[in-house]
Amino acid sequence: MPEPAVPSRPLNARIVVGFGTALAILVAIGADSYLNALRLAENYRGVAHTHEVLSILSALYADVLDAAASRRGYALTGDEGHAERVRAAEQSIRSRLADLRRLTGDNPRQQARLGRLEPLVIQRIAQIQGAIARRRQHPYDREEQAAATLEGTRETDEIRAALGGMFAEEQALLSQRAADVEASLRRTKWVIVLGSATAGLLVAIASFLFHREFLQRERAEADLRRNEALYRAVLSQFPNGAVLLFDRDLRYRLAEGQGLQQVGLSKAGLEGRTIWEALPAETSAAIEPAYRAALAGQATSFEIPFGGRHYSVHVSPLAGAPGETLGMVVSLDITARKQAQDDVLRLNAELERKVAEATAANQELEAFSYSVSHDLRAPIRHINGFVDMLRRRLGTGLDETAQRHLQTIARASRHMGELIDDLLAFSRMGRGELIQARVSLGSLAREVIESLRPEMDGRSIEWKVDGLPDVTGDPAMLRIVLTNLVGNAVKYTRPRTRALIEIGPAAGAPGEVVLFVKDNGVGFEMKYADKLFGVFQRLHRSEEFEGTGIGLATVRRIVHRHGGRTWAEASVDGGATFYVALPAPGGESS
Amino acid sequence: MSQLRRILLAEDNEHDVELTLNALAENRLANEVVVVRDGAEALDYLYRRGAYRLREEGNPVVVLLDLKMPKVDGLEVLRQIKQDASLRQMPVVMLTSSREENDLVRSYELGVNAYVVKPVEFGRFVEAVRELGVFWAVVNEAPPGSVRRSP
Repeated sequence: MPEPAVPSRPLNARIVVGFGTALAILVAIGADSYLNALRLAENYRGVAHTHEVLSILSALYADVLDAAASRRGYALTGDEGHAERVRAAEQSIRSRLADLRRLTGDNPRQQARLGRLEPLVIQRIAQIQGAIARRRQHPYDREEQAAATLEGTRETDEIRAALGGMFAEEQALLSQRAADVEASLRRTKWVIVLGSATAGLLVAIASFLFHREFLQRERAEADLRRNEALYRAVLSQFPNGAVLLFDRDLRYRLAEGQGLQQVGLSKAGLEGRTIWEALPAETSAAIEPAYRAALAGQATSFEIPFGGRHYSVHVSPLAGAPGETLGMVVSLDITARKQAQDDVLRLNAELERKVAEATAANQELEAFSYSVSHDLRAPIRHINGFVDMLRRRLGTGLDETAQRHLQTIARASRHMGELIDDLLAFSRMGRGELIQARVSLGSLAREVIESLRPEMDGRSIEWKVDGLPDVTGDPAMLRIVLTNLVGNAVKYTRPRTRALIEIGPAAGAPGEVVLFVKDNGVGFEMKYADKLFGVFQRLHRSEEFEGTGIGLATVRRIVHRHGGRTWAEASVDGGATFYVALPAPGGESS
Repeated sequence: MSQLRRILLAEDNEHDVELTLNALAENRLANEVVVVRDGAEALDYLYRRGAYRLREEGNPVVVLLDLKMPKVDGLEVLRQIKQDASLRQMPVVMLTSSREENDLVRSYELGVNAYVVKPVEFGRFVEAVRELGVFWAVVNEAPPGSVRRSP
């Protein structure tokens, strides 16, 4: 797979080849220069050798001339000093000849010339020694002297010629060696110049390539770093949770996400640490199986409480992690969702409670219809019974009209029974919608009192109606509530010569408005107070106080439908106070 | 007639009392009826306490109980009678206008001896009371400890 960001291997090889070749060239140049230097040294040794041979040749010739000159001096003066110098010259000449033989040992031509020169020199020295010996024996023999002076000229010329041959040979050798050195130096120079230039060029090319690759690598690394920073930045913004990576040792390799801080964790506190080092024991124990499962290739999801919050955690193998097995954890804060779920559960519970309430209300309705069937049928039965008793008592004494009247009453009572049954059916179906309107309890109370005027005939009742609040509710239903409460107050104060009835506001729980209706009537025993609001429950005999026993049950039912509550306080003969609490207006409206 | 026997009638409604007494009178059983006006009074009578603490000893031969009464209702009176060893054997008849199955079931669960629904028609009511009175006060042998009286 081609990866454009990463430098290719062939380029690497080219750089190595470039530098390698340059190095090889430099080594070759070095080796060549070294060999040349060795050769030059050899040449210089040869030149020095040649110079030595040349100087010995010169010195030899000088010795020969010196010996001849000293013979002449001795011939003129007879001074033994000259004879001594001739001997010294002879010794020097012998030693030089030996040197020459040694030095030209490698040159057969010079050896051959030396072979010719040596006898000439030896012969010439012997000639000189002979002349000196003759002078010593015949100091005054003039002829002899002249002959001696003349002799040797030919030998000397021969010696000079032989020496000259050797000299020329050595000179030729010298110039040959100089030319060799020159050529060698030139070649070395070119080798160095061309080799260095080539190596330099190669190094330059390789350096250029190296530099280019270095830049590319640097760019690639910068890209990698930038990408990693980018990924981390993205992950660090992971909202409401965290993303974690862990390795075979269950050691966190990466930890990012906004959720870390929320539960007191940090990137630094997690990365590089194992789950046992980084987390509380119970948490690490809880998550370990899921982590291990992820490393074995199995993804797991679970929910876990941590740091006072609730998390949904997904642990899975990290697909495509190069070279090693890693696990990935994505955890999400679901506290709010959990809260919402709890709310839903709570609301459900509330709903169930409401249903139970509704069921209770239905049961109350059943109790209502039951009581209707029981209690409302009784008066009809009474009418029917008494009419019958009346008829038996009067017997045949009744005229036709009276008989008809009694029959009408009996029929009417049966008809009323039927009406009651119909009414029951009506009440079962009469669970209509509650109207929500703003109701002024003050004006409603005054209207109700006014409507009850016929029942107050001949009564002395003092009214105190004050400070009644406005409420939100069904005006017709609230009118029934007040009618019942006020009607009861009027009814149960009947034995009082001066009745006092108060209607006003009372203190209630927050969000409630409470009104009370208080009378100074006959009251009731508090131990029966809970029966009071039941359907058809009565604490008084019907002949004492008329009534059906449905009024307070109606009150309670209407108030409950409004979301309120009712209660009562009383004592026997100490009057009664009835309370109605309704939700304060503005709770849902305005 | 043989012995007259005591009947306890617990009924809060005066019209019902009168009607029942009338019906019993028509069957010549009225003289032996004690009328109480609610369940609490009925228990007071049975336990000889309150207003009845000075009454003679002995249980009625039959108790006629209205189901719905102020303060303590008929079912509660029935429950207390049937829980009490000294009263348990005394026959109790529910005399009520309720036809509700619930009342019927609960009464029998509590051990009622009979359950009579008052008919709306007075003629039929008289007939029902006659049969009731004759059976429980005359025909039926009362348990020991019931009050008997010579004529």
